[in-house]
Parts: sequence; structure tokens; C-alpha cells
Amino acid sequence: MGAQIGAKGGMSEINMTPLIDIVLVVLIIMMVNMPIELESLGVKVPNPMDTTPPPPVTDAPPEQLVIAMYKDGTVSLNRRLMKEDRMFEQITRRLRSMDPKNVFIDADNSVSWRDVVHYIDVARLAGAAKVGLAKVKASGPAPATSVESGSVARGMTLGTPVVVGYIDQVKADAAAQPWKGNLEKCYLDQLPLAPEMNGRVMIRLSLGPDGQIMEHKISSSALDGPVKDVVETCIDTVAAGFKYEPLGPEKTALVQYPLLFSPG
Amino acid sequence: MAGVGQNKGAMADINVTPLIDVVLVLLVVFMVVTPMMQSGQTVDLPVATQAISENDVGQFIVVSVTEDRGWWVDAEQVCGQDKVQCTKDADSPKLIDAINVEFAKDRARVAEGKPARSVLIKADGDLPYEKVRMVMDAIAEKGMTTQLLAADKGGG
Repeated sequence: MGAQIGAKGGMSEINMTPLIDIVLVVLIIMMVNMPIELESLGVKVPNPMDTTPPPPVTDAPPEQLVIAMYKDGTVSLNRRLMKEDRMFEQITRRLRSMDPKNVFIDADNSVSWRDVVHYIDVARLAGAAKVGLAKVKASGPAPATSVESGSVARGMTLGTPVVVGYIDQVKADAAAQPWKGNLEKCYLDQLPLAPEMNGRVMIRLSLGPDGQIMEHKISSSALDGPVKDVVETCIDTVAAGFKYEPLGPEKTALVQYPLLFSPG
Repeated sequence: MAGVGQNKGAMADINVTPLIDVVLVLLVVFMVVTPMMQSGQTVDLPVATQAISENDVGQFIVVSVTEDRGWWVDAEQVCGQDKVQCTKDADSPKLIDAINVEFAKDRARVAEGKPARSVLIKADGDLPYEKVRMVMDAIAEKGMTTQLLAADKGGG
């Protein structure tokens, strides 16, 4: 009888130990995590005391990229009005051959800070090594002189390949040129099924010593729509057929091709 | 016999209730204090996907540019009390003074072997560019032309 009562007493108590363990662990995790994460972007700002006049925009070397942000919310790249996604493509493409890879932002005083940071981000995402903020003029940035017709030519643009290893850019580019038509066909064939489909696709090929393709894949794709997979599979199949000269014994390379598709 | 058994059972248990009480209170204190521990003022930061995450271990002199609470250097309000707008001419020197005070502290830190801090600008996303640029220019005038901007990491 006594034993039974004792057993009942034991049953009625909740075991607190695991709860305390967990709470203490949470406490320790929070104490360790105390240094709070901060996220930052770096920019270059001209020294306002520096009196050398900035070069007029028209005299800027043609390869310099200047994003102008106007009062009315429009943006231009090198005085050419365009939409954000179009600008991203343009910057990506033009930065490839540029050195140093700098982008400047010339914004109107009344543009919101959020938008300025957004375009700093766009430039960074497109591959800019440094982003500079131009001196602010009371009259705002130089007005745009032309308007990008809002669209790229219908079809595909083959970007400059990015190469790593024992192959040069010219050879890598030459290897893809004969297949341009086939790559474009992959897209155009499916376009009637998804008329809005557009975006950037990256093909990645790794090459072996004999110039053979050891691995091929779509490393990133911004295409959308129902037939996205069909197009990507088709592109990947075409890319598998690229022909390269032998690289030499023990030599390998990695090549990436950016493809930009537009319905026009 | 039964009485002895019961007694022993009761004796063997440690009373954990006060411990739990204390621990839970600590937990709540930490939860409340954590948001206050952030550097600079609370502002609605712009979002950037390419922002670099850094552990905030006090390596920044944080210049906060807020919408209606003026400019701050770390926890010190430079201007904009009582919702008065900060102006470039009147308040830039104050801002620079406040930053200089922090730099003076830095020299003491460096003497102790700690790294010098860099200036981080934490500006509200809703502000017009002009208001933020005012602060950036004031700081650039001191020769600090490479500046760090705080942003919230977002998207891919």
C-alpha cells in the first residue's frame, strides 16, 4: 500500500530538467548571438571641397557607365532612357569588356534614398566592382537624349563568355558562334507558347584536355513561363555539341556563356 | 514504513521553481534588450541583395539619418530635436564635431591595439536623396570618400 502511494507521488511530478536544459541553451545562444548582423554596401563619394569640375557627361569616355535617375522616376544609362531589367542586361554586357568595372550614379535631389540604394544594388548585381555617386547638380542629372525602344531585337544575344583555365575568351567565343542559330531556335520555337518569356540564361561547360566537354549544364536561368524547361533542355543539348580545340595534356577549362533572350 | 518512503521521496526532489523563475526572467530581459543593442537609431533601411553581412561588434561609427529625429552619431543626437529639420550649413559642423569626438576615442582604442572604426551611414529609405547626400558630402569633405551604407539584406 505504502509503495503504491509512493509511486503515485512520483507520477504527479513533471520532470523539469529537460525544460531547464532547453531554456539555458536558448539563453546561451542569445548571449553568443548578441553581436547583431549589419549589412552594408560600399560607395565612392567625391570630395565636395575638390574644385576640379566634373567632366561633362558628353565628354565621358564611351565605355563609362552612368546611371541617371530623374525626378519623374525614370532612369537612363548613358543618357538613354530604359527600364530597369533592360538596364541590368546592358550593364552586365558592357561591364564584361570594361576595366576598371565602375558604374556611376547621378541622381536627382528628390529621388528617394531607397531607389538610389536599389540602383547601387542593381549595378553591383550586374558585376560592378565599384559604384560611385556623382556630384549632385541643382539642375539634376543631364537629361536623356534618346530612348531605348523598350525592347531588344527579337531573339537571342550571346554575351561575352567568362573563362577560367586554359582557354582564351576569343576561342571560347568562336566555339559558340556556329551554334548561335540553334540556340536561338530553341527559344523562338517555344515563344508562341509563352509570348512574354524573356531573360538571361547561363550555360556552364567544363572542358577536358582534348577539348571534350566533360560537363555541361544551365548554371542559372531567369526564364519563366510554362515552357521554360523545354527551352533550357534544348539549350543544354545544343551546348553539349560545342567543339573546342584540344587544350593540351593535363589542361582543363571552365567556360560560361550568358545568353539574353527577348521576345522583341 | 509507508511514512518513511513518502518522506524520502519528498526530500530527494530539488525545488526547481525559483531557478525556472530566474531563468525565464533573464530570458525576457534579453529579449527586450536585444533590439536596443543595435548600433545607431532604428530606421527603415533600404533593401539590397548585394549587401555584405558583417557582425556588428562595434567596428563602426554609425551615423544615423532619420526621417523626423534628425542626425545621430552612435547614440548621440546631433541635430533635429523637436522635429526641427537638420540643415547643411548649421548642422554639418556639429556632425563633423561629433564624428571627430568618436575619432578621438578611436585614437585611444588604436593605442590599445584595437582596430580603428569606419563610418557607416544608416539612412532611412524614405528620405529624399538630397537629405542623405548632405550627410555623405559633409563626411566626404573630411576626406572619407569611400563610405559604407547600411541596408537590409533582401531577395536572392
